[in-house]
Amino acid sequence: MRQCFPTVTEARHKLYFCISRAVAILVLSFLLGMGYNSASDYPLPLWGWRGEDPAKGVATASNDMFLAADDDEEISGNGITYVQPEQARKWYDSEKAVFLDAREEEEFKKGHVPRAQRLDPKQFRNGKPNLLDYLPIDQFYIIYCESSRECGAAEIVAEQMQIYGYKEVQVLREGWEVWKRNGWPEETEGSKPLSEGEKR
Amino acid sequence: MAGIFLLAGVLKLRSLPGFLVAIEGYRLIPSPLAVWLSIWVPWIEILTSICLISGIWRDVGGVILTALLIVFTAAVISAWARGLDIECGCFTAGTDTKVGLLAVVRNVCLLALVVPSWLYHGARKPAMAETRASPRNDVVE
Repeated sequence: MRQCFPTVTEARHKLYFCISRAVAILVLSFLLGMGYNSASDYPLPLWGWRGEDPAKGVATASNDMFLAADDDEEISGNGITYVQPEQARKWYDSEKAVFLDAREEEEFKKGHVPRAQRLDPKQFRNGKPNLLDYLPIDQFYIIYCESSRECGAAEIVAEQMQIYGYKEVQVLREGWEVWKRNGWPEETEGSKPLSEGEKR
Repeated sequence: MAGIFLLAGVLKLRSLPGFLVAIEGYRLIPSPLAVWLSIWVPWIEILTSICLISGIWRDVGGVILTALLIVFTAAVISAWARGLDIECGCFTAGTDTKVGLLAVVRNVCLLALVVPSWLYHGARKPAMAETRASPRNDVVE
């Protein structure tokens, strides 16, 4: 910073000069970022991402309201739709939903929803995960992690899938924790991979 | 050294969603702000690296990069202290280190390289100006 403060008498002038240059760099980088994102094949949505903590969402200000909600009611946050456990179980029984497990591999192997595929946030680090090539874009997906109150991974996976064009994506309230607590079906080995015929 | 940050910025641009995942993994800022940062930070790294490499506005670029490094290091230390098992997100190329002592040491070393680059550059100019403007009579004891 000595160039910005060569002498005492010029300190203020130099400081303003340096600040203006810094602001110019920051503004230019911001504009470049906005332009690059807009031109990207998969732009990040600037508005309307998940906002409320699932434990205190817009429609559930307290646990009492959550318990009183109708089983079929789906509570929506900003950009993320949550499905209640009972409704998720109905989807499971009807076999019309594909469950995606957003937890670590070790947790997945210990137990997961039968026929669930593992898809955690880390798989999105290098762009579109290979698994998404095998998942139909018009399919209905329910994503879960350990617990929606403490995990957050399911929300991240849901957001990322929405970036890649998946619309019917919901997050299971209370995640694996509630599924296991209710004693619902569980699988402890790795899920059978989709066959070539099911490739999108 | 500036090339490291240039590379880091370019790698982040290759996978913005991946960088967003990395930022959100720290659980320090709300999601909307994380989106804006994931779009903005790579370009800050790129422009400041260009400043350091080209010498244009080198001091300002160096100061901004130093501030970025300090923030990154603080975030890594925070995540480490909270026991989060996440990747640093510094390069986002699938080969990133986990949050921990190694990431902190690496960032501190980078700080040690960045700070002298603009401090030394800033120090040289006043000294050279003084020499031209007012020759000094050095007193040798």
